[in-house]
Amino acid sequence: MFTAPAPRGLARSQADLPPVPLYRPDSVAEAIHALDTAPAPAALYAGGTDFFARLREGEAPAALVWLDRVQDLREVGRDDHALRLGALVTHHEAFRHPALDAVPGLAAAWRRIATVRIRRQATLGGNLMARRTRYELSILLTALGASAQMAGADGTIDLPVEDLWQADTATHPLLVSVTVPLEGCPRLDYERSMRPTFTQALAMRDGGWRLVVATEYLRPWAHDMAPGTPPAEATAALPADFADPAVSRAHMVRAGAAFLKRQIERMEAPA
Amino acid sequence: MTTLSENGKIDIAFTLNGQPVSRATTTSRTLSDLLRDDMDLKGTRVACGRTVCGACSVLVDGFPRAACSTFAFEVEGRSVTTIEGLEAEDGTLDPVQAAFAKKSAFQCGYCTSGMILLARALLAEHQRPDRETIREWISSNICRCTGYQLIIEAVEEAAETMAGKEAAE
Repeated sequence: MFTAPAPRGLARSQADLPPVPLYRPDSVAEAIHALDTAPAPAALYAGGTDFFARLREGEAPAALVWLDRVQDLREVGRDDHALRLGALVTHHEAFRHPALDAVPGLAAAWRRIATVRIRRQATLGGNLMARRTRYELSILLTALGASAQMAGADGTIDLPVEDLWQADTATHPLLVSVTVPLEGCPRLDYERSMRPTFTQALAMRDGGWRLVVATEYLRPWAHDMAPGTPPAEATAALPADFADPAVSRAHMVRAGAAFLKRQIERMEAPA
Repeated sequence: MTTLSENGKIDIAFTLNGQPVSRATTTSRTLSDLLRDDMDLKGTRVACGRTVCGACSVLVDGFPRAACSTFAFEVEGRSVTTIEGLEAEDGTLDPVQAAFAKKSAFQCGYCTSGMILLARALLAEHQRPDRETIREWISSNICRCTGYQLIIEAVEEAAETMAGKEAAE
């Protein structure tokens, strides 16, 4: 359901942030310790692209925990079962990494996020943990059934990426990594409609497909379906209230079915 | 873990336009404020203040970064190039600057320093970029005046000039 964004408050700038204590941990455990012991509220800082937007929207951290030295957050790798992506990986590093070959279509979709300049600064963790509907990694990773490893003082928990929207970041504040399961040989295709804005990801695995639809203002909607489901039938399953002021449900059902037909054709075409 | 600052004050040292510099600053100082207000380098323009427009782009270790969305402490030990650092000591313009001037690839000029630095980084990675590559890179920054065409032509012109210089050397 669409909820109108809060009215913009008084304009703030970066200059409104007073000087605050600054910590630079070397490990996940040190980062959690810093968050627990620093003056509250302490903020995690990495790429900065979303952080500064939040400052302008009113966030006022009393301390900064700068993550750039936490090497565990930068690891990317895969085995037979999963692709693992560290939270500090930038978009630029991610889509160029050979491990992404494990999921055909993921690198191409990831490469379409943001711009050349921002892709080298913005991180996977920032994109997901900003929990903004206009950011796209949540859509791609929800389609792929990815899980998020969140660290807190009492250890690390696994959460489906689609549940990060309502995750309790007070107990487990630090995204360590995201894991994409490789069972069923997943592959991905991504479509965007810019006017009106909505996006659609389709993940195919042996035995099941997952469709995800999102708009600039709506959280991703995920729909699991059997292989071969007709496109119009799949998009007709959109919830009745899935619409925002920029795009109607009827448009997403109709245009989404056309997208889906193209996506299926692309993904089923011989390599 | 390193506590870089307990009271918000911090000393930083970095290379600015080829020269080593150090400053006492604060943990909340952005690179754009440091450059403009503390070092009087007004060529770095701030517009959106949230990474998006790229007007405040400077090169950090050779790649453009929004100075409005970078803390000053992040450039410790790194190399920063601003628009003031591009021209030669005798005042000769960098080939990208010269190409922008020749093509009049600006109108109000507010985005120009960021665009030129972005183009400089593009040409460092792609000596003879095709038009698609130029468009992809240039779309990182926003220009509300030119419609981008003259900027694209200026980048092509600069690429040709730089390739010619290299061949001559």
